[in-house]
Amino acid sequence: MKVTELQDVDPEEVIAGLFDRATESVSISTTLHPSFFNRPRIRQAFISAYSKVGSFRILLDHNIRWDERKNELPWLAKLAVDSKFDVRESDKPLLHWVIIDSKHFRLEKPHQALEQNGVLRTSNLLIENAIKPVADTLKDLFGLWWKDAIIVK
Amino acid sequence: MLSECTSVIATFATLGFIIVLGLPAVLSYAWTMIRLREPKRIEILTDYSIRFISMFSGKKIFLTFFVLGLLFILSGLLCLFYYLYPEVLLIEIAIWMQIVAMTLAFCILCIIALKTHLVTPKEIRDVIDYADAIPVSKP
Repeated sequence: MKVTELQDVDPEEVIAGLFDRATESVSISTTLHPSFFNRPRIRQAFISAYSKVGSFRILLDHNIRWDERKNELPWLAKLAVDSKFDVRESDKPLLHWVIIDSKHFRLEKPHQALEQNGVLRTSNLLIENAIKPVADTLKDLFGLWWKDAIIVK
Repeated sequence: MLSECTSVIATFATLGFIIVLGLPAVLSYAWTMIRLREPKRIEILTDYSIRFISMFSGKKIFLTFFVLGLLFILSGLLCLFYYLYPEVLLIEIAIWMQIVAMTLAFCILCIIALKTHLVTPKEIRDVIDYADAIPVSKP
């Protein structure tokens, strides 16, 4: 297991790098902010990961609506027709995590909404090849959020 | 004589294995489980206990254990070999070399296993800090 903390960085490469490693499943809790997810590197990594995995789960943060995001991310709306794509909306604020193949994780320190100029700097904890107790704990927590959320797709 | 030596070597190798791999790995794993699954339980432990358990999970401590274990195995081998050298035949030397090679290979496997499974207290603290953070409500 390798744990790396990346503080005050643009999370683009962290998230895209994780998507690139996906082979089985992806679970993310996110706001799906269009200015971030429409970036070419993120979009490409997202689409590539989607084509490789058997399960893709998106858990939307509090106050974020899937219908709005679909309009703002048309490329994502095209992917969403597939049955392996699940979306839920949380009625509670969430931490923004990425879980790849149940063994690679990106955890994020809470931050305010994206700044006006589109610059985003966050603190990230990258966990690669997590040992079982760590992976199980984090997956269980995500599972609770997922279970409590409203099914939209 | 050879079978006696082999059994002594096996004993040294087993003891070395326990020191090199078993103790730090088991303590590290147990500590990780307790810290992650039962955060309240760890709170009631004294600082001394936490420091004691954490000590065995640290990479530096693991390295110390590893070096000690390795020295233990090698010193045992060298002592026995030195003691037995005048009497051994060439074929026996070859067998001994094989035993040494297997022991070294075993140690390398231990390194790989521990590099994969060892978790430091700081890593666990970081995971807990991030996982226990309070989400910010977006407008």
